[in-house]
Amino acid sequence: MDTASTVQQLIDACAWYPSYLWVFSQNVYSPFLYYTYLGCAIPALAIGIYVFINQRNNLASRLLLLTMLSLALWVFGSLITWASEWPSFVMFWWTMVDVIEPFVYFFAFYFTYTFIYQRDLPPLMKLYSAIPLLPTLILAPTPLMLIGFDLTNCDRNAFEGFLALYGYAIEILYVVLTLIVALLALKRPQIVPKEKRGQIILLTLSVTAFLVTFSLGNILELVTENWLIGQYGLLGAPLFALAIAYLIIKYEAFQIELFSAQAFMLSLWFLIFSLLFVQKGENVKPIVFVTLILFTIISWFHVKSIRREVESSYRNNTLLSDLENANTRLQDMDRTKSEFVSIASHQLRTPLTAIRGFAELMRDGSYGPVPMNFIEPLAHVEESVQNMAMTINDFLNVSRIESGTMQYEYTEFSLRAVTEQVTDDLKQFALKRGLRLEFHAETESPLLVHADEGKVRQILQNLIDNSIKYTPQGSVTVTTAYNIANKMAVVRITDTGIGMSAETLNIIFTKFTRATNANTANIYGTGLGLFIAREMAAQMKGRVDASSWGEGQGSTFTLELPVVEEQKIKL
Amino acid sequence: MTLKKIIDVSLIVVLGGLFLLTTVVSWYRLVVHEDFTYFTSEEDVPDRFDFSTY
Repeated sequence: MDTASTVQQLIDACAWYPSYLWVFSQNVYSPFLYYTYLGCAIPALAIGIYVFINQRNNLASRLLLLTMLSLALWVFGSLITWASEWPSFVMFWWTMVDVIEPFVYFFAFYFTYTFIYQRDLPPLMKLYSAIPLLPTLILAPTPLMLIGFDLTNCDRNAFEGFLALYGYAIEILYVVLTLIVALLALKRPQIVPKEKRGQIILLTLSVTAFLVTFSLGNILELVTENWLIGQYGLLGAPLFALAIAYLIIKYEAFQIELFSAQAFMLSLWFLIFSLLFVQKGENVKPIVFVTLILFTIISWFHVKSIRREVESSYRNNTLLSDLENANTRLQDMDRTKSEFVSIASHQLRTPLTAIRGFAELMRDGSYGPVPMNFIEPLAHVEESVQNMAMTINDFLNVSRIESGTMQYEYTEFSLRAVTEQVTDDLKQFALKRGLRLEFHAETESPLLVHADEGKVRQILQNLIDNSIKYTPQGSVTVTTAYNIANKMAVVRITDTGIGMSAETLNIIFTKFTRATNANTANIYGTGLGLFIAREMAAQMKGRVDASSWGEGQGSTFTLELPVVEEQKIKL
Repeated sequence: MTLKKIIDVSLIVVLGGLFLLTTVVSWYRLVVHEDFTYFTSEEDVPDRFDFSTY
């Protein structure tokens, strides 16, 4: 150790150049390499700020900003140590650089974890991974960090102590930790879905490349004592920034979708802005200036409109996905409902059959003579049970139709004959209600159809029964015919009943819908009969329709089924 | 307060506080007081692993 005067003489002898704004100076050895520092730090910081502005509430974007900010601070401190002519300044900023450096690694590790796992570090893991930073922070102001200033030459170097080496060691630790969390995530497909693997691999490679080149530069610099080698270490930083930009463009990482448009606009803006300084002609500058203003305004609106488009598309996608989910849920619920109705109806049908049978036996006197005053109530019981059984059958049919489990047994039969039989069967019922039920055949042809005879009977019973029920007086006429235009066998049921309005006609084939005047006419029904008839007819490639001239004008119901093609039909 | 919050707040306070303290103390020691050693010959530089010299 020499005296103060000797030191001052040595410093004076070195005659270092004064620095300008702390970072610009002729003292630097390699100006080109020196200024590439700015080229490394600025894009990295820009991307960190950009991501943070776009996703302030995202932890990964905040940590990316912290990584880039600590890197920028490191670069700033480094530039001062290169440029400053004051040994005390060099010593202070060198210390700060050694303090900040492990933070770059810590934040990069923390950022990688949150980006990959999409959640914060577990509390204890966070605590344990931060503890290695403490010795550097606590002991940095002591000679353990920097032993002293090197005046054996005029290179303005500091001798690094044990703590600086410790700093490099924990940097390696953070690199290893980063690699471990990435590899563990990649090994477990339940954590990282297949489509995210590309992102994770790219991010891990870029972070590792950035940190390893950074560390390698420092270590090689220390080992070889060639300060220039260390300066190449920072070249990993722009690669890292580039990888983040690529992740944003390719995978919309951080949910940023406007990056390309904004980056393009910003690049053009800088290009025009730089023309202000490059252009020599004074008369060109106002034009460039006006262009710059106009471009700024147009870019602003352009980016705004793209943002609106992107947000609207994002909203639409979200709505679509919600709709799909809701639809799936509804289908599930509908299926469950149909299953429930089916099971419940089956369970109800058995006791109903017993009630009906015993009521019938009692009325017939099978259990001994029945008092006269019991006959009417027993008839009511039978009728009610029959109505209930019909309702349950309707529910069962609807549930089968909706679940697609309705079975059809196709045979060839005469529609005319079946219609006639069904009409005959219902004549008594019509007579009871004081109605005439007539059958007419417009064609002599048997009208052979290929369909499920049982279902066709059910449809006809439903339609004729419906007409009888909705006709307080007059007649119901059932007519069979052949529609030459569409080669369909036709059954037409025309009544002089309560008729239907145009609005009712529109909804009459919907489930649980009845004519608006049905309730006033006090008619029993579930509103399922016509729905079932139409669905069954449709399954057999036919159709059921209704028409009416209006309320009180009667109605006509039509069943059409395709005829078997080989038959000759006489009209 | 959850363990996560306690650790988060403690880390921010401890790391942030120590960083500021280190900056201030280093500035005071190295810039204001210039309290560091100048080495004019390589022989004077102590071994960085010899803790007795600190």
